Amino acid sequence: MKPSSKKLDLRTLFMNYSVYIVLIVLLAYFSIANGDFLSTYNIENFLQQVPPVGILTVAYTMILICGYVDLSIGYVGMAAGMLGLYVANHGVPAPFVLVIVLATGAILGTMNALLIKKFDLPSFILTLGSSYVIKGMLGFFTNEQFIGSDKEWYNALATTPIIGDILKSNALIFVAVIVIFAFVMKNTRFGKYTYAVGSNPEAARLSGIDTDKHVIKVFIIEGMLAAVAGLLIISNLQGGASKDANGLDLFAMAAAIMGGTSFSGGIGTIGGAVAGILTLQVFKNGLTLMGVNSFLQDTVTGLVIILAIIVDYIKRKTSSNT
Amino acid sequence: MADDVLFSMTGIEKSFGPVHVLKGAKLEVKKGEIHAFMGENGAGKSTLMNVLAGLLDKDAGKIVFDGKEIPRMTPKIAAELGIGFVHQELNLAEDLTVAENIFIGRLPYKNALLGIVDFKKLHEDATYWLNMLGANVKSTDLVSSLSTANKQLVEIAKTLSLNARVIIFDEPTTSLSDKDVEVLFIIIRRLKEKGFSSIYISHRMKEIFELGERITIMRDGEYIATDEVKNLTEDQIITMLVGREVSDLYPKADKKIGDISFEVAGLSDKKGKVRDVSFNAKKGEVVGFSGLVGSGRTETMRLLFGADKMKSGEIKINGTVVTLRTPTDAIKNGLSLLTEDRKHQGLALGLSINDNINIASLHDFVIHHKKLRETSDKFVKELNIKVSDIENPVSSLSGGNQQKVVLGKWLNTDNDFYIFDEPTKGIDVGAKSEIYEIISQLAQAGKTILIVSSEIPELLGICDRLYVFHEGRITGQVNVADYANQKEQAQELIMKYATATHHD
Repeated sequence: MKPSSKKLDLRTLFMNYSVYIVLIVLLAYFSIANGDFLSTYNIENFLQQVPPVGILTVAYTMILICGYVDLSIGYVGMAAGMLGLYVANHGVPAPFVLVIVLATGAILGTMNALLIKKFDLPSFILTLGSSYVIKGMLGFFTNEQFIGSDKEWYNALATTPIIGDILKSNALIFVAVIVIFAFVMKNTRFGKYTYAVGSNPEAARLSGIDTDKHVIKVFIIEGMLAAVAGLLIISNLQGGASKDANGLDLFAMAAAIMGGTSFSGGIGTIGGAVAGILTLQVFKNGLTLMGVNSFLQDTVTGLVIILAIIVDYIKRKTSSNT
Repeated sequence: MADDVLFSMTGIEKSFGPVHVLKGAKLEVKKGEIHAFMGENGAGKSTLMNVLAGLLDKDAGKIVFDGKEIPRMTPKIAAELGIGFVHQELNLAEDLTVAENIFIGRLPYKNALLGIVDFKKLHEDATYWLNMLGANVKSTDLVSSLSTANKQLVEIAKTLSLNARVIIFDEPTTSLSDKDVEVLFIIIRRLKEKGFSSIYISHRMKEIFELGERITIMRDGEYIATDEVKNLTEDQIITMLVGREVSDLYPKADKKIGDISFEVAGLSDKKGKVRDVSFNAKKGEVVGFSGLVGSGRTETMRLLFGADKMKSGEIKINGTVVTLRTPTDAIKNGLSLLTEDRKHQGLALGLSINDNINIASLHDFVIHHKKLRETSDKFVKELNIKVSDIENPVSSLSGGNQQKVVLGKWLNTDNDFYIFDEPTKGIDVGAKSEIYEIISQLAQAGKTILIVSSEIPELLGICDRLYVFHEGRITGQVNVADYANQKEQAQELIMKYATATHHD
């Protein structure tokens, strides 16, 4: 009896921390397999790429835990960032620009949430629609052209060195977002309510949670996080084009799910989601260094995501059997 | 003597890991018998039934069917032997017809290669089985258009069409109205006349006495007794189920009934399910609401709690008019609602026991985990909730313990008004008596309690006063103390009010 129960523990341990284990294995493998992986240049490059999509992942995780999806998150972020770029280029002072960017994210998030709640729509479909609306508007106003940033301070938002050239403000903001939201989801009433609404909205409502208001709050915060991500993308590239957001939304969703967030709500952690996005990014980075064809990279990434979902399925199955 | 035995299971053992679930369980069913099978939640009834149906493999023991030993039961062998299972939760495709549901997966074909269905034969075959059950359902009806009782009938027809000889009914009446229960009983009796055996699992004493011929009782995975139902009294059965004597299922406590604390006048909803309802309740009083399923009791409670929108009406709490537009308003005004449907409305099943107990009482923005755990531990202890770890998901608990978690969630709010909607539905006698005890303690503490229940004896046992609903209106009021020694008369009067055959 004893050895079997011990084996079971190892198995649950592996299941619960699979994404962290995969991340460590990947890091170890690429460090050994490719000399460039741990080079200063690569680490610097990696840390510049991760934060925006990482922040989107944190936002997406929160939305998923609450029981919703947001397919428009990437375009919400780009719309806020591009508007910020436009007004900055026209001489609006930095603090106002930041307010405009955050407000744009908040307003777009509110519109999504209000439409979902008012008409009782599935968020998947509504945000599919709003993603096209925002994408179209962005394309119309920018002609999908790259718009450069004229302002030094705008470019510095993401690229100010903090520790040498390796750690820049970009990464610092990402870390701050992780810390804040890990705390909020775990240790605040807002976090608990988000889990409760995602797990069972009706029970949450009958427990006195104003679920409509809560969902709107979640979408507002999500929109603001997306706006921050959009801002960082543009700042990092010293300008932006509307298509810079293509695919980011689904990538963030995949990362959240890889990190153990349930697609049906109520389950997930910020820590897991961060491990999820790091895993996907390390994977992409490693494959690039090893010279794997970029189309095949997509294929391999897709397989990893499918594998993660299968692990999640097995995990749920074993936990429901005990 | 042994000729009339259809099957017997003896010395059945089954463990899940370290948990020993069946310890020498035993069951013997005769041909053409209605065999009642009772045990508290967790006693191992379902496990034994799953062993019989071949869904679980036994660790030890003997199964003899028709005089032949079956060394290893599998679902396939069980089907060949004719063991049918009507589950508690219905398993039908709502948008298909009755006939399609009965023969789903084995439709008759005109041309098997192209999969062209022979609808004529399909409906003929389905009608044959429906007629055998005396069912008032057409094979061409859509399942979604049927009442719950008739849906169950489709399940039974499906089981019969698989050549069942014994049918296991697992708590078939939990979601049925009284009238539907009658229909189901007629069918089960008809099955008996045709020589089919039935195993009838239920927690409702009344049904066991009405329907059962013999009864087998299990406790903690062990066989306790098999006897003719008519040789036993309700108290004897309860004692065997619980393993100790339950002197009085309904606690009688000294308490003081105070002033009117809750008053409702002219309450109506938008759908016409609640019409001009007025009543009151006092501090320390337990007020019951009786009536048929669908008579507007649950809807009334949901209006009071702000869960649905009301059309008109006035609610007074301690003499002051209040507006309760949302559950949030209601809770702020001291109301608690324990809904009938725990899984969908009462609990966030994926969250922990700890989270569920605290979710309605999070007052601070930043959570003090230690304080919350202490609170949960307190209620787990007070309510005797059987848990190994309060951080486990609430879905890991049995029905009775889940109900106690819902109770803990509301006791935690320390509200003044408690609305219970079918608080003991689907839970066993032991947990029932504990819940009655808590209700009684709340009343003693001066809280006001409203209880909706379909079990009249339960209402007469725990309430001070009863209102009876019929088609959305209150048609009568019963002061329980007036009928202290005349429960029969009280029941009759309530039924008359409930069917509106009695007018004051």
